[in-house]
Amino acid sequence: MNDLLNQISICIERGKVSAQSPHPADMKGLAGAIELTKEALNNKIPAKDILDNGLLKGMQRVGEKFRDGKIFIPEVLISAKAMNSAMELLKPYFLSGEINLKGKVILGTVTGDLHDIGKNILRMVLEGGGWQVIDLGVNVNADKFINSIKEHNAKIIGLSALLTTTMQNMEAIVKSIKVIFDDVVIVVGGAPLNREFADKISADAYFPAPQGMLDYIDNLFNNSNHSYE
Amino acid sequence: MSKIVKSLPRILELRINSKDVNISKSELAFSLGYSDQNIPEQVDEVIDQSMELIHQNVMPSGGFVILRDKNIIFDNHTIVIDDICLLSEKIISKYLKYADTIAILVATIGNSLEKIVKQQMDQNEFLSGYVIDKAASELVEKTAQLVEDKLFEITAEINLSITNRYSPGYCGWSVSDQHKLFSLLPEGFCGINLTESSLMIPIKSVSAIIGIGGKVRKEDYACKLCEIDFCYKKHS
Repeated sequence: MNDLLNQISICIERGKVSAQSPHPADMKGLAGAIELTKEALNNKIPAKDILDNGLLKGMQRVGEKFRDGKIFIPEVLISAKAMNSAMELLKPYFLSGEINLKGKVILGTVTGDLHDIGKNILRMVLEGGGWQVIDLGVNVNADKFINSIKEHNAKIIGLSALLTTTMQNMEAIVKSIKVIFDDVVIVVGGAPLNREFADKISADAYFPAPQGMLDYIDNLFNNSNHSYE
Repeated sequence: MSKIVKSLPRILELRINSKDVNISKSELAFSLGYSDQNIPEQVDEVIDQSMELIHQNVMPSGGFVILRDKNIIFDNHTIVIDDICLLSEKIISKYLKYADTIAILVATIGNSLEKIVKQQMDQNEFLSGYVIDKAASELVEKTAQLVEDKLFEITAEINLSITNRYSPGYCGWSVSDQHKLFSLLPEGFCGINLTESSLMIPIKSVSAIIGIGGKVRKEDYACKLCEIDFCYKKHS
């Protein structure tokens, strides 16, 4: 069992989606994350073990390498793609409640801003890290965030902006959300931002790269009694 | 304003051939964080697959307006052009205050690559979308460089120099000044328009001001002037 889970984690780390994937070259022809996850399920390995000790373990190593500057965003995206492909096989177990994702995160690029590359990459990284992401898209105002928080009962919100003009809109959005939901954690990001700005607008955290937000909310998940589902 | 400055063209929209705006595989890999020697094979393949698509979809245009007929007052914090006051940061005005006049430069690569990136992202092809977006960002800077080179050429002909180019949103200059800057350009100049929140459409566009004069010069390390730690321009 451990060997199979270890192989799954290696496939995630190396971005080996399936046996048909030509990459990485030294794994050509070998089973990928999809086949190995199927095999693990056929062998009656609990879905939770596959998720925790196979898939997420692989992504955890990817996160460590990114933090250490050993890999860059393209490799994180390659691994996240393998992760998400294997996660499709676990969908029935999520739906039945046998296993759960870590929780829900709402993401959106704020009012006036149409940039979505950074937010999309963040979404991919968070999903690869075992979080359910509700992506509200671009040009998202406070009402839309608030309605989504109510609808999904989410506790973690990510706001993105790429302009010094639109980042100013974050302040009103953060205030509007905090007035209604004082237990919601709001993380902000985007090229022109910094920690001082995040403090000034009473956001809970700021990260310049997606892995920082993943580590932060993973830490919240591991060290809190709150449910983020 | 001196007679020599008055001899500069007031407006110039360049015809830029898309073949003149290109990015090499090495440059693209570098912008993604890699050297030629350490590109992961899958990234290498995506770059190879994307190169033709990238170059086929670059539609560069650019130009500049030289404010030779405007009354411009420089001080330590601002540039006042007739009744328009630009900049509130010392950081840029320090380098522009010795200029005789200024040029407003714009450049774009159009919106085709932007659409392709969106398609790729919508199809969950994040790696390809990311690679093409990075290429587009580099290409618009190269287009802006071509426009700047043209300005350098025509100013050098009459023994004037130019400063670095400074853009709203960088070096502490607020993007909100973008509307004031665009009010000095013909409407839709080079196909670029502004949204209310000062976002340029097409998104892959650049606007900047450049000082022109006999006593100005280019600084070698412009990024050292700026306090934004995670600016993509600082990767090199």
